[in-house]
Amino acid sequence: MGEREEGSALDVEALYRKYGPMVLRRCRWMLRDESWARDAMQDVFVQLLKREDSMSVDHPSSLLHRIATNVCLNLLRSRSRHPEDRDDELLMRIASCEDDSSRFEAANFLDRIFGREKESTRTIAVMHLLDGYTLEEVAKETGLSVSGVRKRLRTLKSRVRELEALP
Amino acid sequence: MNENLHPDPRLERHLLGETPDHLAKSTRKALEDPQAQARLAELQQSNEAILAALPPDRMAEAIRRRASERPARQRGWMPGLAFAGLALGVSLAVFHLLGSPSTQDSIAKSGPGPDTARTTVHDSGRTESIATAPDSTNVPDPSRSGRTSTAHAAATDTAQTIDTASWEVAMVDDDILLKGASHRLAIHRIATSSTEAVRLSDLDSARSGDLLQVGTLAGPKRYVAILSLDGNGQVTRHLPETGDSGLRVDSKLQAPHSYRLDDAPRFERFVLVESRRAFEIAPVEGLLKKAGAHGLLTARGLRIESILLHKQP
Repeated sequence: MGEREEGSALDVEALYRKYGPMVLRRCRWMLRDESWARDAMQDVFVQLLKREDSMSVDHPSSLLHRIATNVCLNLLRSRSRHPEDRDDELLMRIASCEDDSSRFEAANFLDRIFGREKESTRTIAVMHLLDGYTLEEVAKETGLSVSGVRKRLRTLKSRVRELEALP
Repeated sequence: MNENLHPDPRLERHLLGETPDHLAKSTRKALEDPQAQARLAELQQSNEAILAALPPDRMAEAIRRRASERPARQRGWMPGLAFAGLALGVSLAVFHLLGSPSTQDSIAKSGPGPDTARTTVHDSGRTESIATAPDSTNVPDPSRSGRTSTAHAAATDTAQTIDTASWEVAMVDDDILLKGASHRLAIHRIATSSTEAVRLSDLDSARSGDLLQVGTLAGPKRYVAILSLDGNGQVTRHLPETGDSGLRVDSKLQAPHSYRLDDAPRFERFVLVESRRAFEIAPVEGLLKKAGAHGLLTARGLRIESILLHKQP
């Protein structure tokens, strides 16, 4: 094992020690299955490692939170289960939506050029509807404009009735 | 802590000291909630409990292992003539892995009928179908003897005939054929004092004498096998207990016998092997022995899920 790998290994442990519990709680809440949640948590850190620029962000917890949401939504989409309560039912509906992020790729061309990741529309929906972030807060968190967030969420309106009141 | 309770991201980030300016106002509001202090205390306790149950050194190792698997999978998609030779090698390896066409045909045609028995059970008010592997009278009962020694001997003999050089080529690529939902490995520990079963996760602890139920969660129509490797290097077949090939299933599956852990040291690693096509088990046994507790387990055309249990003295 080379020095570079050894260095990044230390980072993984430190990252997990600081953020692992938060990520696992997020995955447990979304997946309601301990085994899936532990699996998903590891995937979140794997995705973080793949983004070499990730640790240059000011608040890693924000990035990890969004990666965790995205990983869990993808899992929920591929493995159906019965919802356990209202929040869970809403999560399942959001997860089952088609993600229209690709429709916005042209608009986000500059984002891609400058290496900024486009956020999953479903992740944005969870942040707004379940985490209770305002549209302005979601916009700040994701680096989109408020109108961009609103436009994204409108694409899910037909499947997620909670978005009908979207201003 | 109630894990179904929404973990407020504002409180999580406040606890980490990472509240950004744009969330400062709503975080202050969240902290005014009379329950907020209690929630913060719960989060702190939960942090300690999680780090004690899933220690950072072990988790970092598991994450690194998982991260190192990804580039190997991605390389398999790269096009170009430069990979033609590799593709030929992989094809030869797959031929070894999946067996001859006649073997595939005979297994595919047989379907779940002769390989599995189907029973209907009621679970939490819902009726579902569970496929159970055949309970042959010739099969040693691991719950009584501790180990299926006959299966070990047969497996070892067969594994020696495998061309492991081809396997190295096969390991370059992974589960290209497998997309979408899949079977999940499920290991439950059965309490001796009751009928309660606790589902175990990767890196959980286990002890000699623990009684385990090994099986899968519901999945699509696939060929599956479940094996385990212990700290003495012994491989045990759980599903199917006999036969050379993976079992064709399309629903939950449980091993016909529960499995009592013996005093083998350090670990017990369970693997679920799944494929859309019939495959021979013996090469997988050889691969598992080579991989040991922590080695990578990948092979073209197979999806392999692993649960490692740490053995406590």
